[in-house]
Amino acid sequence: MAGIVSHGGYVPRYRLSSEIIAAAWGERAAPGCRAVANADEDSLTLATEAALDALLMREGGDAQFGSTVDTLIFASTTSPYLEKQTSATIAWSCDLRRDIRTYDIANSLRAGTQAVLTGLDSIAAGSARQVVVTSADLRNSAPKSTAETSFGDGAGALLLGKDKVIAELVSVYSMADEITDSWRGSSDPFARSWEERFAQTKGYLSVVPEAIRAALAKAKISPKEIDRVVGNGPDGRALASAAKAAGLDPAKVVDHLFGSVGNTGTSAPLLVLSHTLESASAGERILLFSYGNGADVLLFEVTPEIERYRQAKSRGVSYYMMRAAPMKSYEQFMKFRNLISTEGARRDPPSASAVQMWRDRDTIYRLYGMKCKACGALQYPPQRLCYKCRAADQGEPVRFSDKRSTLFTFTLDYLNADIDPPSVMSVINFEGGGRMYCMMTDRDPEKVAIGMPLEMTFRKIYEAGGFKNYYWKCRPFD
Amino acid sequence: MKSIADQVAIIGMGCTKFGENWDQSADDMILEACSEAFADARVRPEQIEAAWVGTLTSGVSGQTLSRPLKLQYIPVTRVENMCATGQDALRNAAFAVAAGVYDLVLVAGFEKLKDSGLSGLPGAASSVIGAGNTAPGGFALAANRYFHDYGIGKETLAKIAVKNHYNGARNPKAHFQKEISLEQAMRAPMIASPLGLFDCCPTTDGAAAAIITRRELAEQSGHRFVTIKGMGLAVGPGTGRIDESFSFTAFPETQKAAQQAYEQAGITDPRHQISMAEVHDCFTITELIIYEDLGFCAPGTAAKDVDSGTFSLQGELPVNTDGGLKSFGHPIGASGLRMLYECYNQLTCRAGRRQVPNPKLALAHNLGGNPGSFTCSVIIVGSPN
Repeated sequence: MAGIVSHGGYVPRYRLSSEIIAAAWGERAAPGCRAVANADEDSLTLATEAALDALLMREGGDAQFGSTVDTLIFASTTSPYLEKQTSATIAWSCDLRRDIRTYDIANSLRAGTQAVLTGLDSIAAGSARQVVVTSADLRNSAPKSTAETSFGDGAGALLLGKDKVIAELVSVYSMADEITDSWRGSSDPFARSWEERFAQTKGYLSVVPEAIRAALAKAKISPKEIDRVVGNGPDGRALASAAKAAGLDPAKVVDHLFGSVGNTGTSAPLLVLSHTLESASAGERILLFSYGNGADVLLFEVTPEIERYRQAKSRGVSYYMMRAAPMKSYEQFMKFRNLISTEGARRDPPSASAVQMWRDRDTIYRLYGMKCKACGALQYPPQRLCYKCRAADQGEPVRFSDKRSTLFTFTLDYLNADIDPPSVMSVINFEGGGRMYCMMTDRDPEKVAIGMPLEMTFRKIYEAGGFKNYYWKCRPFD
Repeated sequence: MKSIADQVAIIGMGCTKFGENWDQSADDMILEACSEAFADARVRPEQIEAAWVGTLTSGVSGQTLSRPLKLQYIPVTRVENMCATGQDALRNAAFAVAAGVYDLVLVAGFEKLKDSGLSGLPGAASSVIGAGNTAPGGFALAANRYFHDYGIGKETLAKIAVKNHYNGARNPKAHFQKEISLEQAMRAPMIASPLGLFDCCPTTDGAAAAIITRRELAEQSGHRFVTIKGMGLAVGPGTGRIDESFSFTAFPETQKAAQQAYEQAGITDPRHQISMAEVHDCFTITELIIYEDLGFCAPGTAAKDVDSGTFSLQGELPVNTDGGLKSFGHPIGASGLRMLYECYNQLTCRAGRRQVPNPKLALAHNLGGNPGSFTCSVIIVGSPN
């Protein structure tokens, strides 16, 4: 039976406290904080991180699953482009095969579970051995709104398959619903919603319980047999109310990270599920639901395989939550979200060539360097003539994106145009050989020091030539 | 390989005031520098048989020189070799003279940077690979590694800035003619750590020119002149950011270019044989590393010589007597020739308040690129043998 083979999650490094937001508007602070993506992150890069985590590519050595993935699905309401597929880019950054299917599923906070359903159907139909589903959102909220404090940025991913399943799919139920409770048009910077009383009464709190009850009836499982409930919703209270209305014990609703990460939108079901699976044990039944113009309900049963899997996995949501660092100011948040205009750089951003990005797409997106077959020297970017022995065209591709490295030298550059100066320009030496010159992200400038351990992360470099330029940066690894 | 030593003579030179020359166009500066050189050499423009002109980005083709000077259908070649452009223009011209093809050749270098409205150099990365690179950032990589390996700090670099400003304050053509204190240099705003504002050369307009001829013809003319003793040019494979063995604390391009020039000039003990040097101090760290790469002192020991004043105007081996790039300014295509302008004036005892006593051999070092990927020229000139 198809199910979950691996899970992954990612929470960006910065936390903005409710206190700082409240202080900006002269209001009283509630406790807690929200996750904020770095200025070089967007839903594409967040989704890449979660997918890399689910593929166990951070665990050192080769990707454990990459070669059998036949489909990658990206789910988000905040895709970087309205027309240009994000899943294809993620397939490159995760170094997946070229003969795979890629889908973007969008336009609803339910897109994450719909991607899972699509993936499970592909596996059941035999058209895919394994499917990566990765969901991410980076939703902007109006300054001074409730959403400004309650939203958070993050990503969740699942690897679906038939073998070595850690959580088996028991039953699914989906329904559609026509309602205008919340929406965002193509020219709206922020989501709008109708009166909350209407939206909750006739939308969320009506549709979610209906779907859960139907799902349980279909599976012939009583509400008492559900051990954990994972879903999406505006806040913890609404989630508990929906569970209760469905006949479930509200205490079974897991911690949805509202006060620590925030409401991550489309990402929430898979991000919270990944966090939940970190501590789940064999035999537990997990109910996953999500809402958005209808609802999906998926019932999973955890298998004994999860114990072996846990041995192999070292990252996940908890790991990234531990790396949290406070965001200094509300103004920095506004600047990262492009919600205020600051003095522009004196220089125009560099121009990028789509042709060059295409020609070098394995070098740029997969971070392929080479190993010289004649002398063994590793080098990035790949060279026609080996830098060491000058042998011509003897390079075989080597992926550097999953290699760790140490800082050989650096500078904190205040001259380079950067949303978050200084640019920490780094010369890094990879474990096992090879050197690269790149930017460092997710860093405290005052803590950057020669010899510090690093790893690679996929980020937005700049927007130039009318399109977004993605590339790898290094970040502290500890 | 045949040595070029003493075959080619510099018989005249010119140089504009370097600085933010708002009221001068590139053509105005070219005309000014070349006119000074013509007057100095006592030749007329129509006697010039061929010309070379160097600029990084301020013009293309030989016409950038033929138009302002109204040169009449003679060969003019534009040279570009990053910040070593000025010296490479002279190098190519010198070979043409040494080959006996031309008797009288004009070399000019210029740059008009202040029309852009920006600080620093124009141009930007066209790929995400290498994105974020700036000139000070590239050299700061060398500074941090040098600090780490040899245990020195910002103060050594600040002393170099103070020295070059002291020299520039005695030079009416320098961009900055003001002395600075060690404290000012240390407390300047950070540009790319550890390099602060006073560790960086400015963005400058300017032009410089030279008239060269065969040595015998110079002797017949009865002018004072200097001869070229050696010319080295080393262009690296650009692998420092790929190759883990590249140290960032020594630049092989400078070492190789110096080796070529020293061999031709018969120099075996540069520290004692060379009377004064003009080196490419685009950043203070560059000058520190150059001392070692040129063999003025052993690797990792330059700070001691900086402390003891070896390279000051009154020191054992004065370096950048005209203020260097730091104080004289850095109009890219002109800088290599500006260095030779100072060497020429020192060797012909016309350096005024900056005159070094009785110089015999002078070295000019011109460097383009960034640590790991350089183009380096070294030219040694001296009194004719």
